[in-house]
Amino acid sequence: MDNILLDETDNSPKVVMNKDKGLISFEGKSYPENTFAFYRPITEWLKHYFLSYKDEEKKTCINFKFLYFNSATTQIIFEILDIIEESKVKNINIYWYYDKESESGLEDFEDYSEEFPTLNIEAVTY
Amino acid sequence: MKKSLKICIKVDDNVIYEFAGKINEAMMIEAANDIEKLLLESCFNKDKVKNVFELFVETAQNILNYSYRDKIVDDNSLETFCNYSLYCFTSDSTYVLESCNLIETYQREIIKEKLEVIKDLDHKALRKLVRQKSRSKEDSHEKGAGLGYIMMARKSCAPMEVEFSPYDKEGILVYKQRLFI
Repeated sequence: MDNILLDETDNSPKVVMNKDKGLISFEGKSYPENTFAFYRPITEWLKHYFLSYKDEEKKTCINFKFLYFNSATTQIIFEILDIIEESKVKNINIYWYYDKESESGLEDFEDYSEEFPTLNIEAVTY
Repeated sequence: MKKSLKICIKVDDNVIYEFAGKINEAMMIEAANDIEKLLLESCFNKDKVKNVFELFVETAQNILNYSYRDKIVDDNSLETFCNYSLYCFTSDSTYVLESCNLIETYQREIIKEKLEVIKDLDHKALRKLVRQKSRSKEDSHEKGAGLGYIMMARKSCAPMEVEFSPYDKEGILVYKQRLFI
């Protein structure tokens, strides 16, 4: 399984999925023309990553730093969090970044963190 | 309706963005970038900028995905020849995003059904519905999550207005939508 590194574009986020460093991050805008096709390799990567998660000492950091995103991305984020939750893997730190002036950014954090209480998603404002 | 596209943004009835021509994905992205820039220059409420930007994208992607088109250009660019306009203006700090495009008649009932589900829901209930449908994926399909209208309602400050008018071609309607953000 290769690492994934996608550069940010006008309508898609920078994506880093580094299995060696245990780093997964999304940063930027997310409204690709075909959102599900864009994220399919990413969700498949995540499934494999967590299936082969043998080392209990291993730590993984997941950063969600979306500036704007469409409704299909909303569903994808739920799917990603579902994959993580179902894996039952420990030692995962999940951070949700949002503009401190953004009420909707806070609401998004609340929705995800309340929907996935066992994942202990942390808010980070900027 | 002629084969043209018009997008304009007004602030207090002053147009701050206007575009005319056909639409495709690349043009939508360019328009979204321009709109973001103009909004950031004219609006200090970042949350409002975020909501206007996201609803512009949601609306434009609906138009790209669901408009009636009599020709599809190659390489899946889905350039559409339908006529529509999109604009946004402020008065009492409310942005209005209005769009107009052609749809096939059968889509009227689909839109009405979606609006019927959300018409009496408050903000809290809309958030709950997004969570429920995102996890169940019950309205998800190849082109999207089926959450567009819920998101529009959630990010709007007043109920959206829609209108279906006859068009001079059988089986086709003019669909107008107005969002208050």
